[in-house]
Amino acid sequence: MRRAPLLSALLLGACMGPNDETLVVELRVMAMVAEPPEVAPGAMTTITVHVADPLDEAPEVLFWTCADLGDGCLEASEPGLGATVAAPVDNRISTTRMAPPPFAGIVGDGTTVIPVPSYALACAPDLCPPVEYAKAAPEPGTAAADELSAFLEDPFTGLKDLPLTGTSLAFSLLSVSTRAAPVVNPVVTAASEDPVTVAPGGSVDLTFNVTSDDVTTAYGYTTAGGFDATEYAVEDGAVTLTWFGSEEAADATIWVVVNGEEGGSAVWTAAATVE
Amino acid sequence: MTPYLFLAALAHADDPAAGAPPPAAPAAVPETPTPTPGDTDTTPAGPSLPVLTFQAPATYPPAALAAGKEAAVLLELDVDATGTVLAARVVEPVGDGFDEAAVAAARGFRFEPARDADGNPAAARIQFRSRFTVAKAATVSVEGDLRDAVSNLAFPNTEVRFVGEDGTTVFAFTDADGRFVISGLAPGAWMVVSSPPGHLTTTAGVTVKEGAVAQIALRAEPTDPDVAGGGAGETLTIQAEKASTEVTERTLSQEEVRYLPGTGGDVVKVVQNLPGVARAPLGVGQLIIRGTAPEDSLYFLDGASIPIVFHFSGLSTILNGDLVAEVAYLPGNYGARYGRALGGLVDLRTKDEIPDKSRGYVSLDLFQGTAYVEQKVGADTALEFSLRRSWIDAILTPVLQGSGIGIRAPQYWDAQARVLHQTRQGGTVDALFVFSDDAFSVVGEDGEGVAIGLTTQFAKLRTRWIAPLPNGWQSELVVNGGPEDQSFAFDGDPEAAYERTLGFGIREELNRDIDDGDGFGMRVGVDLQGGKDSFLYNVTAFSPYESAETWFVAPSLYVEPSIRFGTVVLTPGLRTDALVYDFGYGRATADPRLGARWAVGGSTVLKGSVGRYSQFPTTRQLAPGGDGNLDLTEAWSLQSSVGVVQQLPFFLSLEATAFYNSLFDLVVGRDDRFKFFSGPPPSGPFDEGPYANDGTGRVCGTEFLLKLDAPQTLGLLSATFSRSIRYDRNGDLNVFTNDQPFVINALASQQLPKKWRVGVRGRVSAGDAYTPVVNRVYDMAGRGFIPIYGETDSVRLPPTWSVDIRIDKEWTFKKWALTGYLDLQNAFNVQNPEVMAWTYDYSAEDPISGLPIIPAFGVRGEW
Repeated sequence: MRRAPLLSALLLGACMGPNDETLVVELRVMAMVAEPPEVAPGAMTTITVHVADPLDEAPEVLFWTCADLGDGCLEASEPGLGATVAAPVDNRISTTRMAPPPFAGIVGDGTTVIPVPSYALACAPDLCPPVEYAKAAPEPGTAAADELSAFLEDPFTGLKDLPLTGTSLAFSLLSVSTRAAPVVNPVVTAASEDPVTVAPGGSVDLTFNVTSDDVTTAYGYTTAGGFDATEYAVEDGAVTLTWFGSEEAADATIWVVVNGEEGGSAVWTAAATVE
Repeated sequence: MTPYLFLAALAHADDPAAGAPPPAAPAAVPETPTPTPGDTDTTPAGPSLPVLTFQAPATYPPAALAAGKEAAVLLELDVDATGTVLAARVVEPVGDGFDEAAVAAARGFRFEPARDADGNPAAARIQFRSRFTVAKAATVSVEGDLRDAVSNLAFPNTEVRFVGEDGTTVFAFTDADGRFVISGLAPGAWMVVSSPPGHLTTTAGVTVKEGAVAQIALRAEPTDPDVAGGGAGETLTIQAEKASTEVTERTLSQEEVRYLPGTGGDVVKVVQNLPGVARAPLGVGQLIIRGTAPEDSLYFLDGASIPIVFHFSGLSTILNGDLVAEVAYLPGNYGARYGRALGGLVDLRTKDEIPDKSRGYVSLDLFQGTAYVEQKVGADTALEFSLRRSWIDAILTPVLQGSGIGIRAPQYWDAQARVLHQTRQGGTVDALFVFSDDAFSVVGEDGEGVAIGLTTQFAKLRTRWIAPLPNGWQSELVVNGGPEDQSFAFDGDPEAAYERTLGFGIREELNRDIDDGDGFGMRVGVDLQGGKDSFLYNVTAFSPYESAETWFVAPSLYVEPSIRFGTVVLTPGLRTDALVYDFGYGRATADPRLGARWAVGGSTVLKGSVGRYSQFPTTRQLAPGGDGNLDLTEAWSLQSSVGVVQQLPFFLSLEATAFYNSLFDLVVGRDDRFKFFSGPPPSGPFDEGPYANDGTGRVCGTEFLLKLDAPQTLGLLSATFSRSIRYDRNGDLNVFTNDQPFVINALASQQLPKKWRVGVRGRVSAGDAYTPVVNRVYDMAGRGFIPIYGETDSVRLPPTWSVDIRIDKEWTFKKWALTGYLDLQNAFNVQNPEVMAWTYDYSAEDPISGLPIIPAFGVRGEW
């Protein structure tokens, strides 16, 4: 319970040492990277979902996109565009999606960009009915199919019926356009040596090179210890994050997410050790 | 009817054995102060004589004393079967004021009653000789007057009791002008009590000092109100300190309130402890009155609207309390004089009397410093100056920034200047300038520049002319004007958002108080407000761009007669308001109201009131330059209440009120827009739809106030039990955000020997309702969590409690006095959850606690 009143909310993030917000302690969808991040209607893109599972809950991930023009998700009625369920391998899954072809009539002028939400719901086994429905692929018109459709169309409301722990819903926006120069993802590479290690209670600077034409921001996350800030500005194509190890030895996973202002993103992830 | 036993007089019967036993002087009366008022000359004419048990000391006529004159006055006294003197008449007048003094003193005598042949108490008529000798002249202890608190009419021939610390009771009677004098009281604290016919018992405290004459003004509230629309509305009157006297008013005087713990010595903050006022979260000083939002209540300075009444942190009122004669707190069902609000109101009413002498003080405490001067200029003019500045920022800001925390602590200051002139016709003319400034800022990462800043500033020039008119009428003209500014700085832009008003106000009111003569009173007034409103919201990171600048005028007309029918007074009223903007909006309302009071006996008053109250939409809700909706109408409420005021023994009084308010056409929507707020940041979920009159609600509750106003002790026990609900635009029922089902405050202040004083305040209240977070969604672009809310305001924080302790000590010197105090707020360091917050990922609740223990200390030097 925080002691200081009103002003204390403004002080968050001002402390030195590992920032609690960078420590991942429960199931969480960490990143969703579309490659390419901006596609034309009817074109394909591969979306990779990164999932943290520090409690070894062996989750399954329900993935879908939903371009809702007022009559439900377009994708739900398009063969091959509906929801998919998969279990992450090495903390990630990849799925290929098609940008909704009907958008061609809207973005045909070459300047319009339509953001299409992509969702990933990570669930511990047997916790989320929508995941079970999607796996069962119910016949249209059945109660299960209707409930699944309702969830896919409005997951924010549907989430009220799911437990807070053991679930993680995330979304990102896929850009659909016919622009001549679509947004591209940045490229992030580690300048430091791999594997990463740090002494218990110690810290290590992790430096990354970022290639991008966009203004980018980096975020670091770990399952042991923490980074010293919640976000870092990438300057001159490089960024350095300080990782504080946990007080006790541990195996950890590190994610470094780089987001561009125009919508591109990239993830660097690696196993790490506190010893 | 019991016949009088006529007791033939024995003139000059100085020998006690000849009549009654020697008079028993009260323990509190010194042996020396005897103007020889106690030479009883009684001759029995029946089976048993009245026996004098208490002889009130008579007051030696000052002129006669100065001239060395002495006298003996023969009186005839009618003593009833209880031993009370019903009447005193002069048998042998001697003049020079001796006759009147002897009669006044004799009315305070007490006897063991006469007995008839069967031994039953009986009325009797006796003669008594009162002697005045210079050598035994008693000094005057207290003098004062007794008047109607409203009409100011004097009460002639009315008993005034003085009750000492040991229970000794001494009596005095008012003269034809309502004045009374008592002599020979022992030094110490005395309670003064009087119960004029048709009025509530009035009490006051007075400290008698050796060689000093204390002044006191007793004002009795009529059981039949002349307060227009008074109904069940409540008015707290905090009387101004009379610096030139030894008097400590006991009716929540400024002197008393200053010592109450938890108020920081602020006379207005005591309102926060009264029934109907919910606990403001984080101690920010908001007034949440009868289950309405803070912005639904209004603040006035002598009837002229002011934007705020407390500084940013809630530590202090924006006006020095020494300028204030009364703080009128009206939680609802107020008269037609006030309008334009659904909630309650607070009216700071400044003094209109020329002080007896000049004075001033300097006060320094942990949070602020104050200097105040009241200068008398001639016999009928006074000047007042006050300057106050907080310095918590001067202490805290270097500490914060030295720790790498980019916050400049809140700072505020205010200033007032006033000239008051009393006219020859008995009225007053005065001009008051008020300035208030609050600032809070978060500096940039480099410690320079303002990243986020909030400034609230206003200046008002208020002039007032009060003039008595023939036939009991009075005219009060108040003209005021000045700028109000609330600005928000963000990301280097010092005016990223602001709300400004350059406004004026004119109020002319004719008032005739209800009196016993014709039982008819009247209040009629015109209240005109206008000016230029402008706002800008250019904080596109939070909210869409909005801007407007518009002229407005808001005229009002109100009329409110008061009619007495026996012991019942009815006060019907009608208030009409209009609002016109130059962007093409016009709307008018008519609000009828009715109040009634019924005096049941001498110590009970029943009250009831019902009325309509309107509140126009804000400029932003209407203006086309933003998201305004010109189709909006006024929100309104139907307020009703019933109550009782009961005087109780042992200096106790009890007020109980039940109220029920229905709210209609409340403006809802655009909760997602940037807003200025003085309390904790609003939390979701938000109604992001367009502005619409689609909200309704209900507020009901009961309020109790038990007050102890005894010598050297002041106690308040206030309790509010209420429920406030709202229906949103979809018709869904929600508990109102500021709903607090129960709030109980207990305050006590006790004067101790050697000018020590200790006070304690305890407070228990229900926790605020909040909307739980049931899940969250992770936004990949913003790398942040979005909360998924459950049912609106369906969960409540735990109840809160706290105890404040205050200790004062005064040292008196020849020409000045020094007071030191320690105000220990939240003495038990209770970590009350005040506002719900969550961890960054909404995985757990993480409520924000209220202020920790604060040992506020300070000194005040007064001359």
